[in-house]
Amino acid sequence: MSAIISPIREPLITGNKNYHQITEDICAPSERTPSLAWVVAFIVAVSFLSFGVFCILWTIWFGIGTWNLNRTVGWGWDITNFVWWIGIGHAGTLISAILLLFRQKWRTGVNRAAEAMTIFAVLCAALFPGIHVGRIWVVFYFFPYPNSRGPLWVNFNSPLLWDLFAISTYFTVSLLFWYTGLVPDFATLRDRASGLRKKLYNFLSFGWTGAAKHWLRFESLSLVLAGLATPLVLSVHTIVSFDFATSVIPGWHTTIFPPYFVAGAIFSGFAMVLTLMVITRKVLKLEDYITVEHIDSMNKVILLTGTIVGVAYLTELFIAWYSGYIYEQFAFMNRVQGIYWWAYVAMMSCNVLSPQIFWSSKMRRNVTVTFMMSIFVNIGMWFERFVIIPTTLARDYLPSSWSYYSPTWVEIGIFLGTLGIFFTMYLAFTRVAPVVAIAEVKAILKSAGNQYTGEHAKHSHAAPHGAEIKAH
Amino acid sequence: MKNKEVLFGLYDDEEVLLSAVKEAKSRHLDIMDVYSPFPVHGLDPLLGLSESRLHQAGFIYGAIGTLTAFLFMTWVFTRDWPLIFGGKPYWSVPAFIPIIFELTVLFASIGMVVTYYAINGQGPGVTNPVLDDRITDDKFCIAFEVNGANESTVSSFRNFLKDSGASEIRTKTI
Amino acid sequence: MNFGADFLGTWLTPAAFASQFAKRRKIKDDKAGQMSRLVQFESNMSYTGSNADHRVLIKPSEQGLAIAKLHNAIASKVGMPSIDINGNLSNPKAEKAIATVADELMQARGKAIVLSNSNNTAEQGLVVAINQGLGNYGGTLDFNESSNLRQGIDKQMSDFINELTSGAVDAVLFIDDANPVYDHPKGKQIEEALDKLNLSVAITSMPSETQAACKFVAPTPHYLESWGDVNPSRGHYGIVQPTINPLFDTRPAVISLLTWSGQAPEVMMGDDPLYTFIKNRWEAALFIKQHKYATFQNFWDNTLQDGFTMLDEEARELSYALDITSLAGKINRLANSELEVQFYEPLGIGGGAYANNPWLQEMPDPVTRVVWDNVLHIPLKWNGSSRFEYFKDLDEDGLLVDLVIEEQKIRVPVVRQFGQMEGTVACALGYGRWATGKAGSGVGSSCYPMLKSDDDGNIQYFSTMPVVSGKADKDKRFASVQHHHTLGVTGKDESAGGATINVDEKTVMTLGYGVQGGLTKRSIFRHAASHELAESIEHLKEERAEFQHLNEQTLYPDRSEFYGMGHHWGMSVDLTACIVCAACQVACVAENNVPIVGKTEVSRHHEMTWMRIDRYYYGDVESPNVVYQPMMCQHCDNAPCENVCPVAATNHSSEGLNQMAYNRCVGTRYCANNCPYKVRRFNWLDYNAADLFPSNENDPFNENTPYYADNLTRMVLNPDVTVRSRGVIEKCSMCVQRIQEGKLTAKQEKRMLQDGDIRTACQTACPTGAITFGDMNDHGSKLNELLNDPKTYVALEETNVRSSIGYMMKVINRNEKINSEEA
Repeated sequence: MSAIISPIREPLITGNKNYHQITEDICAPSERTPSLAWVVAFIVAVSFLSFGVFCILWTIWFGIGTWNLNRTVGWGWDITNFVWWIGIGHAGTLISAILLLFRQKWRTGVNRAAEAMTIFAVLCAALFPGIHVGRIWVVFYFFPYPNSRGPLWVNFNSPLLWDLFAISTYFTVSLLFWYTGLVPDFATLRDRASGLRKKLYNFLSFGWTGAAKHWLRFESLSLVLAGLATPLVLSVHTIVSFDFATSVIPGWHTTIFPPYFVAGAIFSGFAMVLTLMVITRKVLKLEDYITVEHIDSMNKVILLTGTIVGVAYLTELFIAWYSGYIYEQFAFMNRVQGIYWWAYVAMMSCNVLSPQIFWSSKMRRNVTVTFMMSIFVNIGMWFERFVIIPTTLARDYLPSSWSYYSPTWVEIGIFLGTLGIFFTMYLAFTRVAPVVAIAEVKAILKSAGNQYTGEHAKHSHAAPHGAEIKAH
Repeated sequence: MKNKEVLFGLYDDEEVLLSAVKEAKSRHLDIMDVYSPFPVHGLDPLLGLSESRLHQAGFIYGAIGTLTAFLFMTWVFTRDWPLIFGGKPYWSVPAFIPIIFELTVLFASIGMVVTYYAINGQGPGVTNPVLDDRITDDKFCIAFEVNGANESTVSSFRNFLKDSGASEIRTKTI
Repeated sequence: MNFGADFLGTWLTPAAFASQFAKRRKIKDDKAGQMSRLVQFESNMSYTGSNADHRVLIKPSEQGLAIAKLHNAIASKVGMPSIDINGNLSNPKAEKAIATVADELMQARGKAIVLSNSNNTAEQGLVVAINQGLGNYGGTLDFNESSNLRQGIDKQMSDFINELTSGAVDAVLFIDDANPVYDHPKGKQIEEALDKLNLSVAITSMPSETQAACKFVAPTPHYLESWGDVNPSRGHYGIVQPTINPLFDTRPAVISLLTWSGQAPEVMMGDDPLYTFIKNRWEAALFIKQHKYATFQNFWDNTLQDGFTMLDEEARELSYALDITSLAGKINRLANSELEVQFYEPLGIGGGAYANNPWLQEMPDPVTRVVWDNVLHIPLKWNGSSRFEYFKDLDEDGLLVDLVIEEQKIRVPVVRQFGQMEGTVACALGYGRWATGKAGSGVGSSCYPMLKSDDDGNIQYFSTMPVVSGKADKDKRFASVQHHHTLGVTGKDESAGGATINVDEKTVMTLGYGVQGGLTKRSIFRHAASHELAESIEHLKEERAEFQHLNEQTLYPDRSEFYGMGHHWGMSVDLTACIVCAACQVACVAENNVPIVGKTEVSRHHEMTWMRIDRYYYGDVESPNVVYQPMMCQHCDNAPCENVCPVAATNHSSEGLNQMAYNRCVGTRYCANNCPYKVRRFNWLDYNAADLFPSNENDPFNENTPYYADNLTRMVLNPDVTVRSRGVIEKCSMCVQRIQEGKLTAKQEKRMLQDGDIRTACQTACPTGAITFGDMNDHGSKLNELLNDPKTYVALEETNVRSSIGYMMKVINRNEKINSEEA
């Protein structure tokens, strides 16, 4: 597909870069010694991780009774965190895959880090189904493998089992997609390195040479993986929403959950990408590659998905009233007015009200506001899952069973531990791999670099000898 | 793997590369391979490379995934050990759909990626010869194989490289 | 007509009374005409009061006055002399109620009963006079069926204590586990006096406070370890047989006494002297009284097999000669005190004898739903528009207050009690033991020292001098298994022009006022008044038809044809007959090795009981009615739990049971979340002391093993049922081990299974026959008859889970004139 690049397109790479400068800028963070900021952040992250590991071991040794879950509220912080992390992970795939299918060039500035974030977030999420079970030493029962107990297989009707397949597929496909894109960039690092580093990157780069046929297959593979990953993203969070939607509990048993969850996932995922990108671009001096344009575009997505989520909340309330079904009506009144009303308020204000600030272009392009908003959105989305899970369970059908739940230090510790895992891995990632997709950014330089397009373009995009340039 | 002697030229810009390749084709020169730091669009038809058949392979792998999931679950629930869950009939196909979809995607992805690396000759720890370290940085390369080629062939390669604007011309044994 | 006697709970022989009571409460189809009516006059919510058709609130000190007024009302109608009393009852509704009840009693002359739990001789005399006037003796009351229980006379005990403390006693033998150091108000004096005695012997089977104060203890075996005989009421004689050999070095009390007294030496020298002694006695004294068996051996063998026998006792000639006028001065007077406290015997641990039984300590009190503690019931009041007001602003259950009567003080948690009369509080006896064993020592507080005697020496179980402090502290381990108590308590809403609304629905939200119907529109519990029964049944029929129509719209074809083959187990629970003795719950715990988790875990809502008895208040906020709903796994044919278990640990059997494979359960708890009835229980911690990790396992031979881990305690386990490990879900299995046993027995006897062959533990324990288990596919079974009763409904039927348990609507027999606002 060929097209003329419009001169009024905003540039996505600033600083008048050429290919070599791109290589230098992006490889630099993994080649120089870590800054003090990195070291401090890493130590903090590792200490959270260690505390988390301790709490997990404590739980396994003594039992789920070290948490405050009870006969009525069987899931609390554990599954709230699980859904939160999975939701966060969806932005990476969305940026890589769906934006690739829609030919959005701005994805190249953030897709590598976003996909890495997906992998780490899915790992953090996958921890919870593992540790929240009462008997973790037989958690392999989840897997359908031939055994001497019949063989006894698993229950394929169960949404938790669908989760197992969905999340492992999602993790695998994301990992493959991310790694496939990383291979050429590792080759770049390999060819600049020496000694032990060269051996490491040699191993990681799989023998990439940059041959034309390989690039052809690379693009073909990327396209199909993107095409597979897109419905996969939608299906994975849909399946996670089925954990609730296929139950009979009022407030859970509703068909709005799949689109609501998917929109919410994209919402929180983009917020986490922004949180990471705003800091990364500053600390690693990558503002030329992760420009205000990128931030603006991501904020637009946040505004859109936040509004969808807000519409979903209102729809739920409306349908509860319209249905005339007393259990559903009570469940929603209870969310707004009951014992956990403060969680509902936090959810509504952080998720629905605050993103509306992004109608203003000035706010969208303000980095400080973006950073603060991204934190609010993540807090709000955490509260959304909290409202869905313990609030609904605490007061369901039979009033004699109504109960209350608030976490113990062990549960809070595990959550902090997952934050530790996530940031430890992300910080390690910034040291080992290029945070921006080098090859892909180079590929859009001629059409999106600020010397080629935008107000201050020095060169035109027209190629010599009239060769057509394909829009990317 | 026998040693290959390669004559190659490095270019600074992909547009120059494209016109060079076009020129090489018009001179009927047999290019061994073209290397670049990023995929250059327009290069593949010029080189006469056909579309990758990874898509078709992916479809087949996916279909295998679909059938595997569907048939396995059907067998488990109707033949091997039928159990009643929630009053559902044994063959509750709507409940199978999520796993069928996931396995389709999983098989397609893993299959395609493994195939991709296999046909590329790449994999963990594989080392392929690199003509120049800057190819993965900012240089583009057209390479000709000159194993035991006669002088005139080699000089026609060299002339072409010079004419088409290569900034460096070198040989290497890989 | 009952003045406070808790005959369905703890008064005399509640199991027998319950069974008899239920016979006149159960209704077949819609024929409510023969139903009895119970009107209870009391201040606190007793177990019997919660089952009454009406509760009329009177203070403990005015019970005498109320009885006297009733007496005079009856006396004037039957021509007996009246008693000279004046004064009015503090509750005007009570005055009117007495008049109404008197009329009703007159209409039911000869078929009524008037009871009182008063320990005042004069008041009981008046009750006798009332029953006499109504002609109940010879009809509903019969002296020839007198009970031999509770024959102690308070005055004699009081005299004994005086002798003991004055040094006039040389030696004391306490037999039959008597424990006055704990359960007599002057227990402290007894303890101090015993210390000075040279010889004090406790002949007891359990450690106790009295035994600790005695110089010698002669341990007796448990009654299940030795022979014995009983004579609980006139004409009933029973033989107690041992079920196991004595576990420890103990000697039956009879043998101890025979040894010390030197009697029956030839019996004592033989083997099994106790058995011989009893058998000889029966031959000598009882064989002659019966006419059924010709030889003593026949008589003995048959009685052993039956367990009891009925012998003819001579009918006693009794005449009535009571001088009413002398009683007037002796009845209790209404005290004009700010506060009165009623002490009562709780259902679980009784007067304290069973305090060391963890099953009973963890059995939630049916009214308060509290475990492992006694509480102070405090009154609450609807403020007329927006919220409840609580005694001394104690707005949370579990707040600790000090209850002080003269020099005695205890610190107890409060429970806000619906139906507690304003100006009164109540507290349970039986707690606060200190020398009873690992489980019961230090649980709760003892109220016994607070009891006082009247002029006749009778202990009075109420006080007019209590002082209750405000909030002193909070019990962080306060353990209650239920936190929401009402399903439609009505009161007037002044802010809505005095309309009658469900005040609990208005107050259930933290912000705002909820919605009317938010609780009562749920299809959990249905009730009807007997005089409107036909309409209620009609209404139920329409609702069920609508639900069933909705339930037919399914994605998958249903399996009713499949379940129509073979057996399809189900259960019927009659809410009218359930009087919440909670025997079913304890039976389930015993049968199924359900672990006891202790107070702290229950306070975290980790109780493990498979069966619970939900208690809801409904009706007038001042004196509500109560319904008890035994809730166990409903064995839903469209079980939501089965769908969601990822490892296939729970599925449905072809006989309609929801099965649970403990060794497959990984413990994701999705099934528990998805259960609309919340009947699944998770083993949060290692409750059975059977940890999997070797370094966590307990050595069963170690002296310091935790409770449940030693070999002796583990003898309590039922070998037919698995013990579950930490991290698995468990729930009611409809006693599948009994089902299998029944099938096996039938198979061995080469016959078909018959209705009644298989009885679940809960069904076996229920004294009123409220629970019936059976095969839905057996068309002649009792179960089917009950399930087809028009009063039967399914809880949460519209969720289409297809529960196998049918509940029969609770029917109460109300006279709307009692407790009404109008004159």
